[in-house]
Amino acid sequence: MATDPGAALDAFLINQALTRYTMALDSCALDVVEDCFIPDAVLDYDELGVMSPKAFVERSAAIRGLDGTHHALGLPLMGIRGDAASSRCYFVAQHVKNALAPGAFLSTGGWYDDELIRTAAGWKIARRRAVRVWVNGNPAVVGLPGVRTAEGMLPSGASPRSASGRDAPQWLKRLPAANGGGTGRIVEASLELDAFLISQLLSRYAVAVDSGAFELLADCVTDDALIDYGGGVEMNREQFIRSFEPVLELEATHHLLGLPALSIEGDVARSRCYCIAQHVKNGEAAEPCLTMGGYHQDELRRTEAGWRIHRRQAVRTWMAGNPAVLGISDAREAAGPPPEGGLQKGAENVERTPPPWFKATTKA
Amino acid sequence: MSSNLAASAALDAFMITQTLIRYSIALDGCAAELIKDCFTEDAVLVYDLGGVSRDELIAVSAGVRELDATQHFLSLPTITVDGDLAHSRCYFLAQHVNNVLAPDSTLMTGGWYDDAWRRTEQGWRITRRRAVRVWMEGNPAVERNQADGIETADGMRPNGAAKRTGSGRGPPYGFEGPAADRP
Repeated sequence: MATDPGAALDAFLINQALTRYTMALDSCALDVVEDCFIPDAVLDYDELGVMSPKAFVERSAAIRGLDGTHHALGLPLMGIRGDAASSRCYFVAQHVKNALAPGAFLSTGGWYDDELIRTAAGWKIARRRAVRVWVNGNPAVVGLPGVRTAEGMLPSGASPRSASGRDAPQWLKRLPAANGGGTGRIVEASLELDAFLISQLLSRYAVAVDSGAFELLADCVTDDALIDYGGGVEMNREQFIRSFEPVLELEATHHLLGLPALSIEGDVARSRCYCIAQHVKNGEAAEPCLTMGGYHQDELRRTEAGWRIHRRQAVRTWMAGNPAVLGISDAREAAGPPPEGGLQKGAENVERTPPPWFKATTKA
Repeated sequence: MSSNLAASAALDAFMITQTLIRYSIALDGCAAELIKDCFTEDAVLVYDLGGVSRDELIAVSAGVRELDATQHFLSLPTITVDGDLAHSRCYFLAQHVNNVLAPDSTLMTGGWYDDAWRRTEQGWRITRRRAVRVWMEGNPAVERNQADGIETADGMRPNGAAKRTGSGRGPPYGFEGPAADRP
């Protein structure tokens, strides 16, 4: 159960298993890539089809023909059940082929839906479904025609929301609450266990929004939460949940979360967690992507049902791409206040300081 | 693995991760002086500007104020703990924005930090860091010390990926071949 004291260790080891794959792939250590899976694992990689780890590694040798790949992972959402685990882990993958300059880049974003098992040699992936949600750049970098959308094949854009794998994982819906799953009694609270549970809460939010499963958001916030997404407007829980409905007019959103900085004191915690959010509207065919960067600054409360967001301030610090994707005219409008100039994209006018609780790291 | 050891491995990983993200938040929050306690006093830090000391890095990092925004996004690190020493590789995506250069006001770079760690009386500290920039996309003029672009297999380019044979492009510490999960 995710709430027993060993969950923090298992979560760490599963993080390591997920990371090992990307770092081995990006440094062309393909024997290590193969070792991330059990030998009879089943891998389903979109148009590459269904294959074994050995076949996947043989096909992956083609990445040596690229000048670089870089698979950044977000915070994985996990359900740990003894010696088995399910995980959804976001990725943003950059692919570079210098010879194609100025079209040398293709970035893709999506998630890995994995089933992992504990083996004598540690956690291994037994089943992987790679769901590519969006593609931006020059698909020729990887020799693909682009992304299959409701409008046909596009060089950049997002798969339809109805595409397989785009909904919230089934196992997540069976988990009782935003506590990493499991109904196990918390035997002994610890810093690392609380950190894991809070990371699960943060990533549950991203999965709920990006898969259009807004009902899952109700479990992310306290009953009397106040949420500020800019413009000085504080939303209550119901307003917060409803505020995501317009998201469904986009083909995709994709909130890649970084490592949260945490301060945990008893039943109250504070977090600042970086986010890079991709927004895709295929109708803006020439430039269908708008990327925003910033952070969520949260006050979290431990409730009977697990950790919840009690206060959130979402701060956007930069924007790149096509603002028309979100129907906004420039970066400063996105921040709330009216624009002072004709800034199409760039940095927002926000105060840049660490959070007030940020203090010296000390020995635990 | 005994439960005591188990608990401490997860705790060590948590503490190391907090120090990694502390660096990003201090840098992007224009509080470069706060990165001081991410590193030991004698830390050697190898960035593109060459090897620098902790104090030199802090002085250089204060330059982020000249940009309108930076964001050093960190991905999940791989961490290997050996007693009081540890190694990690942590991927970054670093956005740099200089509004006056609009519409080409952004420079995104991606790569990783390879760090060696030591457990000190004050907690885990980085003793050695090599920052490996794998790719950059956007307008290199956004950041003055990257204005020449990136050194690729075909020479300097304004955009692209560094040559695969470049230093730091191999697998991280402990990845030489198949092995059990660590620690």
